[in-house]
Amino acid sequence: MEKKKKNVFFRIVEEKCIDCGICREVCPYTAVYIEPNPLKISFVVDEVRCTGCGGEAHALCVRFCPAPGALIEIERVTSC
Amino acid sequence: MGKFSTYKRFLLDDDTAKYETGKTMPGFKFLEEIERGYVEPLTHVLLEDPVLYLMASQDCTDEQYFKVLGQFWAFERAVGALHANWLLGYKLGPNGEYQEVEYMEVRQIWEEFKHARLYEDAILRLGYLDSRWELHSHPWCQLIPEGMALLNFLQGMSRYPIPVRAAANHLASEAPFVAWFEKAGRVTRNPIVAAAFGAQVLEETCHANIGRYVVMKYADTSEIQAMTRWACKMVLEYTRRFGTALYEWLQKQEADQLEVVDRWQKRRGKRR
Repeated sequence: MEKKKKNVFFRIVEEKCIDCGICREVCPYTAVYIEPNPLKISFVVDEVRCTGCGGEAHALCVRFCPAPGALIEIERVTSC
Repeated sequence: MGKFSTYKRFLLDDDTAKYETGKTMPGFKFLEEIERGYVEPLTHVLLEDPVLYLMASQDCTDEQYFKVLGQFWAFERAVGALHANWLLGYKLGPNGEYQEVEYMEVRQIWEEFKHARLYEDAILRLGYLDSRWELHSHPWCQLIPEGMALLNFLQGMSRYPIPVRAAANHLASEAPFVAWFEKAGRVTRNPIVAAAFGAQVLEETCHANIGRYVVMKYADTSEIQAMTRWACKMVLEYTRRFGTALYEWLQKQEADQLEVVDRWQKRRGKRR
């Protein structure tokens, strides 16, 4: 039986992120960007661009992230 | 557009307009923020650098002087090479922007290698090594891991827009060191080492001013400003770690581990 591919995207947990920017460097879809906010430095994942890369086990951002738990996987809710 | 213009004048904002959130700060205000938020704190940290106190004390040994000179020598050379590498793929903006930055880069490359030369001269005058050639293979003249981390980050900045890399490489990493060099030139006991550091103050100030100019003039979208803030924060962090690690390394006495290897004789022996 063919395994169904995970339909997920990632989100960065601000409290755990150390702002190293590695996720931004390695993302093949350029889905990670720095939020243009003058008050704080925070990396954000563009949920539209993020394809999830097949889940945590495959996503480069998760594999390269030095801060454990800074990226969490979220199931994409589809209407159909 | 001019009265008889034949092409549309593209602005730097055109490319990034879709990310624009209306939070862009005026150039001079943004520069002020960077100076206050990242440059000044690092300057305060560097002015209290234990390495400075060590070089000012009578207890500073030749080994420690040599290690400091060797590390700065390696770093200056690497930074010079880094600036030179940028020019290989240098592109101007759609209206010829960044051309003056290119000229300033050229000047900086020359000066970084000149500074490395100052350290070389100091090392030779103090009799720590016999020749310049020896520096390249000496274990104390290879960057320590934390220095390599900072250098690696600065090299990675070449993938970022020019204002971001200028903020990291010219402003955040050079401006705080102006105060450090100035103090090192004043307080270091050894006059030859003091001269090597003190002689750089003017040129380091120029490098910092290149950063100030580029950030003020070209960091003109909120997206680039956000990246600039991040780059400055990371440089601050890496520099702080480098300073701490350098001091810890200086505390170790390793002179007895050095061994003279007659590579030339060995190689000749093999050939025969």
